[in-house]
Amino acid sequence: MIKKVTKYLLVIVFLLLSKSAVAQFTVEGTVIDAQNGQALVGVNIYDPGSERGTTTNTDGEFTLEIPEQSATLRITYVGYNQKNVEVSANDNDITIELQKSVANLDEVVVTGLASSVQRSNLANAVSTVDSEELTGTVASPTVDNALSGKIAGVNIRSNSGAPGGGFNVQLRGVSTLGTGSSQPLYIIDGVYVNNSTISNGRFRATGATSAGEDNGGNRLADLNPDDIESIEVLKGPSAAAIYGQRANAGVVIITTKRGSAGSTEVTVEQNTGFSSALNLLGVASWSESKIQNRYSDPAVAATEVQKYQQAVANGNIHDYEEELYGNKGLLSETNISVSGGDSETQFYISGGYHAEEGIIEGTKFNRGTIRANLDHSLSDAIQISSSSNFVKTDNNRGFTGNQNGTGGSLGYALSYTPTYAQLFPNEDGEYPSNPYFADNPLSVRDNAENVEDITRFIQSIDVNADLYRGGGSALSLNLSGGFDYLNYNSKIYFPTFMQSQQAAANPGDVIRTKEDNLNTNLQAVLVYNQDLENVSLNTQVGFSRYDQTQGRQQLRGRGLVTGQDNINQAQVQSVVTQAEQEVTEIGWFGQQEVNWDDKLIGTVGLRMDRSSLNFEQDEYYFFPKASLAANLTNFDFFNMDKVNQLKLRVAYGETGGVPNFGDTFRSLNGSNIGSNLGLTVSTREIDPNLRPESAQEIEFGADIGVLENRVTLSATYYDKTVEDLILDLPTATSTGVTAIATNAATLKNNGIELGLNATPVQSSNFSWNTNILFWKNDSEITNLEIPSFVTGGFGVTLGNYLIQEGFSPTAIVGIPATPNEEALYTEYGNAQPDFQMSFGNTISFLKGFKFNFLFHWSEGNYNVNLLNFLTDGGGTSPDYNQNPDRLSQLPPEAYVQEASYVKLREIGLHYSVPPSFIQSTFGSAVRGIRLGASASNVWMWTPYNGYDPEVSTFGTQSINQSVSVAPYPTSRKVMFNIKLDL
Amino acid sequence: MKTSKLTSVLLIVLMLGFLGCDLVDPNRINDPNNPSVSEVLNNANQDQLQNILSGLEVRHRSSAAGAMDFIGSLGREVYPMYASDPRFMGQWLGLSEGADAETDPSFYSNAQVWTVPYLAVKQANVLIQSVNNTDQISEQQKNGYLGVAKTFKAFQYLIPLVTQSESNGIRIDVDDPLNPGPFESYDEALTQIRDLLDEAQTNLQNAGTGFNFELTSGLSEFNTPSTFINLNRAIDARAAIYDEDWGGAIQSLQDAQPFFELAQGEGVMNKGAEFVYTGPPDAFNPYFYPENAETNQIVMVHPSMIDDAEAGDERVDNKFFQRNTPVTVGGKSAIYQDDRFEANTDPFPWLRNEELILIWAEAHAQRNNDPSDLVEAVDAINFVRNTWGLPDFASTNQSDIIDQVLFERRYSLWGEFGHRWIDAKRYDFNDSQYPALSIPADGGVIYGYIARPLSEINWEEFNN
Repeated sequence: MIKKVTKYLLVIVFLLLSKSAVAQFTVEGTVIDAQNGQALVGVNIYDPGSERGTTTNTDGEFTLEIPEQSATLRITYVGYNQKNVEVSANDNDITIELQKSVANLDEVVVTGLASSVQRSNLANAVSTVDSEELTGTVASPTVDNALSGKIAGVNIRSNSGAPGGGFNVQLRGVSTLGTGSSQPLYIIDGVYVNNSTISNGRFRATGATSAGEDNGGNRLADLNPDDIESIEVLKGPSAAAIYGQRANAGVVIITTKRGSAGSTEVTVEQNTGFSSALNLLGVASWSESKIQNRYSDPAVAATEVQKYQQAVANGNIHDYEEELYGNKGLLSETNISVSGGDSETQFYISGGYHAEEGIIEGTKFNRGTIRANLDHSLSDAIQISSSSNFVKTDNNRGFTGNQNGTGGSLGYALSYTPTYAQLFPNEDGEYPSNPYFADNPLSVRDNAENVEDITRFIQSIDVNADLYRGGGSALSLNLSGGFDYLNYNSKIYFPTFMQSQQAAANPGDVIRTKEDNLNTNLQAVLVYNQDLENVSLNTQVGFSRYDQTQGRQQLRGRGLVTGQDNINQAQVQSVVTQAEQEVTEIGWFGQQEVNWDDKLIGTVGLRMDRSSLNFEQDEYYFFPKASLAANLTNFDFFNMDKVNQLKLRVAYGETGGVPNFGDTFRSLNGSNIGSNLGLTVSTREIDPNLRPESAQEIEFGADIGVLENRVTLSATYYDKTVEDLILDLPTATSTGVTAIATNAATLKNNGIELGLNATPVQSSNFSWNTNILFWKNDSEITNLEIPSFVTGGFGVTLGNYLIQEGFSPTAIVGIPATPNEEALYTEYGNAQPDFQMSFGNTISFLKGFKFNFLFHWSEGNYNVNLLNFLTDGGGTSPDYNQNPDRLSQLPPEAYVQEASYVKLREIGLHYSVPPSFIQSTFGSAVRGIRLGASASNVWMWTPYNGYDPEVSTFGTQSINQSVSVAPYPTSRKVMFNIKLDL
Repeated sequence: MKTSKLTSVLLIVLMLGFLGCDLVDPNRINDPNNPSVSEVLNNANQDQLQNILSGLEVRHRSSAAGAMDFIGSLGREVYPMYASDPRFMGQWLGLSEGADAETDPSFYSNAQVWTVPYLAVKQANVLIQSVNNTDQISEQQKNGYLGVAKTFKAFQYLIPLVTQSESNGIRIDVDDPLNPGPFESYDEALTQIRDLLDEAQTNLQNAGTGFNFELTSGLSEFNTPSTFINLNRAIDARAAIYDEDWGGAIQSLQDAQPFFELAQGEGVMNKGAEFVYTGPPDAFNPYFYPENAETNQIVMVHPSMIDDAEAGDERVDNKFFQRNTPVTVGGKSAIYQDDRFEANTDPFPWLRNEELILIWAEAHAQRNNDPSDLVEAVDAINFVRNTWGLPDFASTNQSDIIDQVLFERRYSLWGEFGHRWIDAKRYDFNDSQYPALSIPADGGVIYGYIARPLSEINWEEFNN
């Protein structure tokens, strides 16, 4: 009753008002995203004529009174193109569609340790990937996987197709020859996180040669990509100098999603699908004559022929490749998030569960994550943010890659197993012995275990306090810090009854590894901002400290009690490793930024760092930087209407690289003999003048935007020099010292990065956005103060890498030696591509449909394909029967193979149900529904003779990154997606 | 007001943090897992010296035992049937095209007969330096360490020496990694090695009646200075025949008594020095394989060892086991496996009296000062033959007797170091005169020596 009355009253008041003020009307409207039709919250509506303005509410609606008969409203919103809309008293109920800004010039980019600048003022080519680009098309299991092909200047290589990943990320080429970290520094919400690949000792059980061959996943895999808001990649020293001695390989800054004031939003997303092998190679068939040719001993040949005939007669010819790699694995990913808050407190809470089965039966990757990100304003001057992330991961990675004498690699065993072998278990579940290899791969798959689980907690706290404010200047203090605790447990287990175990002295083998890692970092920065006329100044000084501790144990038991995998039940019990690590690093830094009216933006900075990893632990090393950006479009003389942005930029910076833990200790190693403990002298010595590695980079670039930024081009050239590379001075090994660690080389990387983004078509019914990236990097060792040498791989007889002045460090060489040529050995190729290109497209059509695809092309890179070497040796290569002669060539000639590829990395078709339909069907309970289908690694073209040209049997390495030995084949993943916004 | 209070509190907390602990100036971090070299080089105590000495035994073992499958393959005592890496068969036997140990400075596993023995030399040098640089033990005790260290060091030099070509030779002075000494020719190196053995003997003679350290049980017969001298002289006898110093060999064997014993019987033959393997935390005997082990990762007896064997030779029965099925790798098959060890914790012999008896025989046959030398040689041969159930050998022809010694060495010393190839090399692979040395090439190559390793060539080139 009362409501009715007020309504009438309002109508009367309105009538009265409209009569009294003739030249006045009220605009009512809704602002929506032109692509998906979703309401946009907080859009600025401004009428320059009357200087009146408002913002849209949580439903995207606004009302604005206009004192004239007509007006031109200016609509602005971060991340969207500005739009001017004519309104008049006759046309006062409008729906405004905003186009997403392609160039995203007003997004902010973190450049200092406590400051950021608008992208339009940035002097570096910092790549940013937002959540839509990252996971919008395909729900990638890991962050590095999701980044593949999306950033210029980055070489992301998947080491293995095993669920749970394993990636090698190189920014702007090789930045160390192996002593420093080859991987970028990852910072998540201010926490320096652990991205190590933890060895589970599989190589010990399988007889492979090094921990790199464990085929482990790097621990970035613990982060749920769906939690990420954006990723910034500081590719080289010019952008990353303020991170000092940890930044030689670049810095990746990951920001997770946070809540914003407004009504509580719930998002539920489910992905379901399956994985299957992308590219099975097939196996060679067998015949009597082939058997006769392969066995020189006539008696043995006769037995083999008999086995073959029997298998043929009984129809027992098997495709073991299909059997081993033909599994269809189920994929499921569920993400639920709740976010919201008020003006003082905002929250974002999410839970995710990713479950993935591999294409080898029994392999899997499961990850559960919980996140709580909270922001609170204690007062007007003090804000506190907390980000908490708990992760539980378990991963079964199976047995692939290298092995020696144990059969502990499916692909290795497969290479030597003919199709007429009889390997399937009998009715009692007993697996026959494999007469062609050290174990039956089906038994390895079904009986051997390789499991690891990770428990992880990452927490950061950030406190920002305004200490002083007034007269156009402000002083604030930013304190931040956090920790990353990672607990790792793994088990490698070969039961006693397995063939390889029965052949061993103590059958049954179990290796258990436990590792605890704690990284903590603290940072305090004073920031002083000053706004003068036309010039604003930003000054910051700060301190940072990073600590890392690690405890690791690896126990092994051999000669197990039947059915037992406890070390106590082993006849032979050994402590393989018990080791601790401790690292402390201190840094001081200062930075001055000057911005002249968004026309010229200059920055200078200096960081000084010390690290306990350096040989001189107390010594400080200095890392300066300077940059300048000129926005020509903001100068008065500039008068080209069609050009919205023309920025020239130049940046210089220096960074460092710390040695690995233990590299600077001159230690004696414990070793037992009989009942005595021996200490043996290390084979390595250290140069007493050893300095950390350091890099300098200068970068030039231009950013151009035309036609309302519908076409933007970003071009960058960089020249990065890494000096004082720590290498082993190879001594004459007769001295009992095989190497002396010394600063011995200079490496140059230069390259270009081009990014062209265009929206050729943009209408309400159809729009097409295309993003073309091109990048290339050339590396060369410009100075080498030690003799040239070859490294990595399995020696120069099979092909490995050349380190020689005037050559690329990723050059692949092999026998014969070329004593009369410049290069030590014959050059067969280069692991680094000549160039890479990617082609990403988003097509929106029919109001709500969205079609994405991403092609990635890598050209001119080479691999050492030892899988092919093995299958040729076993007579099982798919083309062996037609081409059995590769083995008679020199191995590097035959097996260093071109590994160029074009991959369709992602493809997706999604449909956002129109808001009107949702409204009429579900009412206000549902805000949005998106349905879709997507796939990753959909299609591949390559001349390469293997499962996938992206492969590395040695795992994550700076140089030794392109050798293939019986890898876990890559899978194609197809998924169906439903996303509900509540 | 509220704001400034809070910020003051924060600032104070921060200041306290900076001042109150080592936040900004942390302490040096030392290796939390291992002791450092400088600790032992500087006034080491007895326990530290013991650790370094045991470390020398570790290095000694990994070098001498580890070289067997390699040198044994060169001389076709064994087949390295490690299917996982085709290079074992392809390179070591010379079956692969282009494989050439004599010219390839990176020949597969050449470190095993170069770098690895030199690691033991380095370890001995650190022990010698540590002993000379401490006042925690007496002069007499020091002599014990020095005698043992120098004896092992001399033994280790022999491994690169016998595998390199005579003209290339080896380095003897290797104390300073940045300034290694010159390459010494085969003869000069041998002279220096034997001088070092003599020096060690002098040290041992001045070492009193007991060591103040423990040797492993593999050296239980040599765990006093006087008995260790026996071992030292036995090594010198081996070096002497490499040196073709036949009189010197006979003299050293006489000085090696009572370890050296001219008699028959298994016990007499087998006494000597062994490498012990006790399992974790120690290593396992790498040459133990269960009988009929279903593996293609195994050292197999070369078929010629069976083909050439004398009927009734118990050495064949004792050492070789006929499997149910052959092992086939790299196109070769073998059906006999090593049967010397019953468990992976059985010791591995590295210098036995049986070898000394055969050195005695060879030295006498070669010296041939008068007919009694040949008789002495034949008698020695027959101690060995009779022990293993074989009838007496009789001859008065010098080269027949030498050939017989070499034949006995092939079966007596099989799988202990690779003596057969070294013997063939000593006699310049002279097949016609000594048929016992004719080694079947199996379609591969019988290499004459191993090329000088790349690191040495590079060092010479880089620094000259």
